[in-house]
Amino acid sequence: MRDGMVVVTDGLRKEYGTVLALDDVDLEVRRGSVYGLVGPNGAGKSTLLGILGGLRSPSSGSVRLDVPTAAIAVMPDTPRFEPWLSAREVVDLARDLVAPQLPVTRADEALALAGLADVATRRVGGFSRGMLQRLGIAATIVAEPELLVFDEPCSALDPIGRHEVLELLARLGRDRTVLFSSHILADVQRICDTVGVLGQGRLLYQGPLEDLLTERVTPAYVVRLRSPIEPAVAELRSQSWVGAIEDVGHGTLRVGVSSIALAEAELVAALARANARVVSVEPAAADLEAVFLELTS
Amino acid sequence: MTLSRMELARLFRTPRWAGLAAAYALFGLLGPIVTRYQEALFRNVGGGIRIEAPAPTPSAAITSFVGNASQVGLIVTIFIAAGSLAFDAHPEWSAFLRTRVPVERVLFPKFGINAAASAMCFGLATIVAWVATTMLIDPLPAGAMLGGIGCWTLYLTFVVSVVALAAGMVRGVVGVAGLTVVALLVLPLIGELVPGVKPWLPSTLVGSLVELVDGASLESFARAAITAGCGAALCLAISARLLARREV
Repeated sequence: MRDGMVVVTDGLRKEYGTVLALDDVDLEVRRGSVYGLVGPNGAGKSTLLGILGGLRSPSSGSVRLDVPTAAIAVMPDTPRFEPWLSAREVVDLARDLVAPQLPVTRADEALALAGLADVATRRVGGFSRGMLQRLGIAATIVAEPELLVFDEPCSALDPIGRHEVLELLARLGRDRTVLFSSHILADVQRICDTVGVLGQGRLLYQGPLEDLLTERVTPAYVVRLRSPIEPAVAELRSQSWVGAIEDVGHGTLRVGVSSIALAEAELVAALARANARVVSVEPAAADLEAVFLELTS
Repeated sequence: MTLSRMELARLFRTPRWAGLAAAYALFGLLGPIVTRYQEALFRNVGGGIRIEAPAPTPSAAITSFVGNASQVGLIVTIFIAAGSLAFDAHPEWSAFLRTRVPVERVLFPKFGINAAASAMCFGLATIVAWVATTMLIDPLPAGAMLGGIGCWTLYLTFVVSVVALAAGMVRGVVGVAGLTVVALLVLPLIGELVPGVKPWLPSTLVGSLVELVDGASLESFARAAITAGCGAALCLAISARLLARREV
C-alpha cells in the first residue's frame, strides 16, 4: 500500500458477460480526502463502489484497503429498509451490527446529523425518497467508519437537502475519508479535493480537482460586446492562437485560446482592430462540467 | 436493535405472526370439531343421499389436523420464511446488511427465528387440537402428542433450512418458496421409488404425530429425525456458502 493511501486498486476489471463495466481501473484514494467519482450513466461508478464495498467481485485486478472492513460503510444510491422499522431502529441496527460497543444514543446523534431527529420514531415505510436517502446517510455514519462510500448521496434530495448533505459530507471529510459518486458535477466541485473521472469503465483522470481545472481544460475567455459583433468574430477567427468561438447569445462570445499568455497579449488588441465595442473581457471560469465534457466526449 | 429482534418485529408488526398462528390453530380446532360432528354434518346433506361417517376417534381428529397443517400450514410457513430469508430480493436492503456483517450473521438469526416461530405455532395448534379432542371425543396419549410435537419441530426446522438453501439458489421470494415446495414434494416421491430410503427421509416425520397416537414407537422416527437434523445443518452451510458467493 502506497503511503497515505486508504484505497488502491490495480488493474481492476469487471465484465458482465460481454459487457465490460470496468477496464483497468487504478484508483487511489488518499486518507482524509474527499474523493468525487464522476461519470455519465453506465460509466461503471456503482460497479466500482460495489467492488470496494465487497458487494461484487472483480473479474481481474486487485483491491487493497488500508482499513479493516468493519471500518468501511457503504451507502447504495437508493437506500431501502424494512418498512415496519422506525428510523431510530434502522440506524440502531446499523450501529449494533458494526459497532455494538457504541452507546445506543449514537443512533439519535446520527439521525440529528442527517436531519431526521424529528421523525426518529416514525416507521420508514412512509418516508419519501429524500428521507430514505438521509436515513441511509445516518445509517452509514452511525458506527463512525474511517472510510465512507456513498453512491449518489444527493440524487433524491431537494436543493436545501442537497446543500445540507454536502455540508455534512464536507464536515465528515475533515477527519475521515469520503468517497462518493455523483453525476451532479457542481456537488463534486463544491466539496471534493480529489476527483476521478470515469467514462465507459475507464478512469480517464484522477488527481487533485484544482489540477484538473487548471491544466486539463482548454483556456477560454468570455468576451461581451455591443452589436455588431460580426467584425470582431471575423478578426478573432483570423488569429492563429484562437480556437473555437462560441456565440452564447446577447453579444457574449466564449473564445477558446491556445495559450493564456498569447491571449493576454493579443486579445484586446485584436478586438480593437475590429473596432469592437467591448463591454467586458474576462477569463472563463474553469468548471468541472467543461472538463468532464472534454474528457468524456 | 439486533437482527434477531428485527426478525421478531417482522413477525409481530406485520400480519405474518397472525397468519402463521391462524393457519395452524384453525386446523387444530377444526380437525376435532369436524371429526366429532361429521356424522351430523353428513346427515344434513340434501338430495336423499345418505353418507355414513365412521365413529369419531382421537386418531381421526389428529389425522384431520395434521392433514391440513401439512398442506396449508406448511405453505404459509414456507412463504413467511421465504419473505425473510430471500433478503437478496431487494439489493439495497441486502447491501445494508452485507456491507456490515458476514452473510452467515444475517442468515442464522433469520433461520432461527422463522424455524422457532413455525414450531411454536405448530406446537400451540397441536395443543389446541389435543384439548379439543379430549373435550369432544376422547383423551389422547400425552407421550405420543409430545413426541409428535418434537418430530414436527425437527421437520419444520428442516423445512425452513430448505427455504434458506433455496434463497441461496434464487433471489425472488416467490422463486424461493416455489423451489422449496418442489423440493419438499420430491422427497416423499423418492421414498416411494427407492426401497429402504423412506424411514430416513425427513418427510416421514409429517406422519409422526398420527402414527405415534396410533401406537407407533418414537424410535421408529429416529432415522428421519437424524436426517432432518443433519440435512438442516447441511442446507444452512450450503446456503451460507452460496449467499457469500453471490454478487449484489
